[in-house]
Amino acid sequence: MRKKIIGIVCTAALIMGLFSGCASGSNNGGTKEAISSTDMAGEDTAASSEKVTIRFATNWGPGDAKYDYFYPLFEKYAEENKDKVEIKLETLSTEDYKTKIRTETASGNLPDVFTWWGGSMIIDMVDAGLLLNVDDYFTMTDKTSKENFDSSAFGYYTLTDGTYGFPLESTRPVFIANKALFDEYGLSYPKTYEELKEVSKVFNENGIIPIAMASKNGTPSEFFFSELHSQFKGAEEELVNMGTTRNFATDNALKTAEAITDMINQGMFPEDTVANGDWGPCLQLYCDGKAAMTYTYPWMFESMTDDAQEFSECIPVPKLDGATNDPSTFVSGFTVYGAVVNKASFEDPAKQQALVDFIDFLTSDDLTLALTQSGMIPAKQVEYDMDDMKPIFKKMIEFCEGKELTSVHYTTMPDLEALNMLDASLDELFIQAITPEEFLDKVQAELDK
Amino acid sequence: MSNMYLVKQKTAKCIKYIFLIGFALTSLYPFIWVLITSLKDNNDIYGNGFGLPKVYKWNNYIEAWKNAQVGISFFNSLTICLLALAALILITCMGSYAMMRVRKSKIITAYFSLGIMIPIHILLIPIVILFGKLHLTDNHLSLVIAYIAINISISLFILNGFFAAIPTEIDEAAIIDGCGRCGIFFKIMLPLVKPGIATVATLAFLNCWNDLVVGLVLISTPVKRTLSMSISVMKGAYVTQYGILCAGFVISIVPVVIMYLLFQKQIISGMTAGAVKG
Amino acid sequence: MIKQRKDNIFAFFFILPVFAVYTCFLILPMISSAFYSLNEWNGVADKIFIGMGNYKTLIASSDYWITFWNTLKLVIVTLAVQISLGLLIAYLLYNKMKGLKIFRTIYFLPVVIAPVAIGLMFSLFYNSEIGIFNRLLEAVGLDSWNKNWLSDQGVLLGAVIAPQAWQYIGMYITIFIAALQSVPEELVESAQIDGANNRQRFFHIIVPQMGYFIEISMILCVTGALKSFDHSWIMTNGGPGVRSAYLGVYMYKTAFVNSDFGLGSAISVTIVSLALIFTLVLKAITGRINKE
Repeated sequence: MRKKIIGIVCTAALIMGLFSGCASGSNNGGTKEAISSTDMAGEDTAASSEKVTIRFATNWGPGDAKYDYFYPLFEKYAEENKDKVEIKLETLSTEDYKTKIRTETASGNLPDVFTWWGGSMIIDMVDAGLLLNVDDYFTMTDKTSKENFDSSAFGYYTLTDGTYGFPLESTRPVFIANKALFDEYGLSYPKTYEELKEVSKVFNENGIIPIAMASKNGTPSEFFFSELHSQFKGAEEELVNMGTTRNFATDNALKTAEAITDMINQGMFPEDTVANGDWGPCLQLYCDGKAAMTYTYPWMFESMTDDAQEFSECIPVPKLDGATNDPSTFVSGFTVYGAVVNKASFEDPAKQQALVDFIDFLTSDDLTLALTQSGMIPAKQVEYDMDDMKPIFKKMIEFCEGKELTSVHYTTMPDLEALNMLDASLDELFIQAITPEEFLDKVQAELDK
Repeated sequence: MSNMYLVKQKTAKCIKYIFLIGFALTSLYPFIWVLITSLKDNNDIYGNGFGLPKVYKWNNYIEAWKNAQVGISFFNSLTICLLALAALILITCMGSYAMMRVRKSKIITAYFSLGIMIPIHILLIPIVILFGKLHLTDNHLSLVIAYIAINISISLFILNGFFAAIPTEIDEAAIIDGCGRCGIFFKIMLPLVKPGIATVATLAFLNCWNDLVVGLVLISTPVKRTLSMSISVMKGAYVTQYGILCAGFVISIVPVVIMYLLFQKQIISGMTAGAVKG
Repeated sequence: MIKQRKDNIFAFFFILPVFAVYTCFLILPMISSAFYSLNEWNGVADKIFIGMGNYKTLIASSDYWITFWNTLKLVIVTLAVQISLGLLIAYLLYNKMKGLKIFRTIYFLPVVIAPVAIGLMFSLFYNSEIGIFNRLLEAVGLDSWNKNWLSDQGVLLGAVIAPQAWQYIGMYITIFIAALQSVPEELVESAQIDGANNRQRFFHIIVPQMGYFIEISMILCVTGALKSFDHSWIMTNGGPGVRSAYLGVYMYKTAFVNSDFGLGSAISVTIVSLALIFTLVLKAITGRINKE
């Protein structure tokens, strides 16, 4: 009897499911007709023949630092323009997002607009002619122009024959110290490597991890690596020219790798660098008072507790032995994120205006200001009110004032596979499974291919 | 003499029970841990990973249900999985019966067992392209079909054993009694393989419920997401809000446990009714 | 004669639905992938045919062999742990009907939890700063066994294999209980009457009767291990390097992180081939045993 009931229910569900499946239809970015579907705005559209649908994908979804600042404005934009355009918002968290976009690229189903990284991440897409050259957009719009952005901002998205993306997010790291902990043990902030060793000894004796730095898939280690690397002579030129020289295994890189190995031997990092790897766990150790210092980026500010923001002080990275450049004069600074446009969609006359409008929105001052509140440094030049910003953000801006900006391997690595090898090999270096020389060889081998 | 034997029996029994209970504890503990963690905030988790929550954050469940649209994705998952399950069971039972009792063929059986060895990730791109051509992008139907396809091999694998175990006299008796093949299938065979169906249902449901990647590549719109996709989204870009995450996990575990308990009854009643006897 | 034809027609229509879905949505995509493996393809540009080029790369790649051996170790450990513990516990429960339902439900719980959750949980457990494993070892006086489970080369792989091996034991317990319950009681009883003790009854009557199910379980176990992805990915991203990666993880990294779909597809083809070989070998062995 029960089986019969289950059978009937299942068959009914099957039939209903088939109907709903057909109704929700497919949406390959259809050109003219609006296909009513349950999207986030949940509107019932009067099918006007001029309304277009565009797909916008991003990793600024629920759970991401920027979501709470992005979504209200997005909703407002969608609402205001609902007669002309229906915007399908597709969000995923970063790792899943990368998989998704890659799958869509391979299956020929790229979104119309999507947020994406530059440098080695767009090389393949540009070679295949998938991305729009942004000059085409700038000629069509009157709301923004290239001059509104920081002069170097477009570098991340510029390849040999053009610029293929819009920078939205610049960034600077912060090397922060827990003032309360330092005071408790009567220590002052270390300026040299010798001082760092002494300070670390005291912290270790008292069960505190000196620096919350670890490596899981190269995070956050690759940025710390670059920061240390910049202390050596000629480091900046190496990075800037890496696109042409394809030379990673330089003396400076070796010195940096050796410095890190020494730091590990001195017990400056947590013992388990894999379990504590990635932005979250590292920052958490620091915020919980288990580590005295850490190195992190503004996209983590949203996750910093108020207490942590209070007791944190931005300090220069200690100067390594043999370093020529004074770390208190520079800080890593680069464009880290932005948006790209599907060239085919832009060249579709039906979608073009809608896309231009939407990009206007993405690069608008309003949205930029809102995102800044999440702790982002805007690539666009906007005036923002410091009082609206988080305490830690203010400290960062003050600290970075007047400092020279240095590059990072993350954005200058010419090859995606080499960048991934850098990440994986850093993990190995941190658990001391390979020597600094082996580390350099591994990455260089990828570049030499 | 018999006294010693009794003592030996009793201690053996004791040891067996201790072992069973010990293993049960290790099986239970992760579930309990997820439950407790779902009621903590991040600091509590890091500082006090294994104790009871300092503050009970029931809010985590509300956040999970609301924010990541766990509610909607819950029902999406339920619909998709049940649909796929119903269709899967029907066609695999039909196929297994046919290839085990009507027209045995080693080649066909071997053909169907290939699927077990195929890792899902490598199918991702081809099926995205395939469903694109069928105009089924961002459509739940594509997920249903994909889930059915993925579970066919395992289901047939298990069902074949159960169908093969039925003595041939039953078929012959039924045919003599004038029952057509169809009738034999629905009235006699299916009831006899109930435990097999229950096992298949449980395994297949689990596979569908916990799947992440297939849903990821086939579905784009947030409201159409499955539950595991929503939970993955909740993992946030760089920070894991473990408390809310665990709340999502608990929500996603509950229906599976219920389904399992339901099917458990089926298995037991099927067995005690003397289903599979010579 | 007519009955034969009627049977054939019946069988044809009954197998057709499952055959159609299976072929179109599983086999054909796999064949596509096999085709990709013969090309150099980054997912964006055009495919360039290179024949066995990708396979040559794999053979020469040290990373591939590391993941290969990692996967093999996983297979052996999960086979040993899951099948033997599964059998043992299923038998213990089967002999004492009291509490069987409760025990089985509890044992099955870990199977039900998504691997992502298990992975996350164990990441926290293993963490030397805040995790319990080391605490527990201290509590029972085994301080010296304290390790950085996920950072120590020696224990890393074992630490990643353990949750996976443990998680699915319950599934095999369930399968084996169903299998045990399908063993005709008369056989067991008559053996008991003939004077066979517990162990003899188990190994000489019951296990052979369960032969088919044990074979299924072993194949499920091996193929599952060969495809393995989630646990390794969540806990360590397969790293550092590829030290805790399995073939499935390596395939994902190659295809989706390094954007080399040609090479990734080649790795999948080797996974399928390995699974095929294992299955054939297993069947041959059990075929031999059955004949004796």
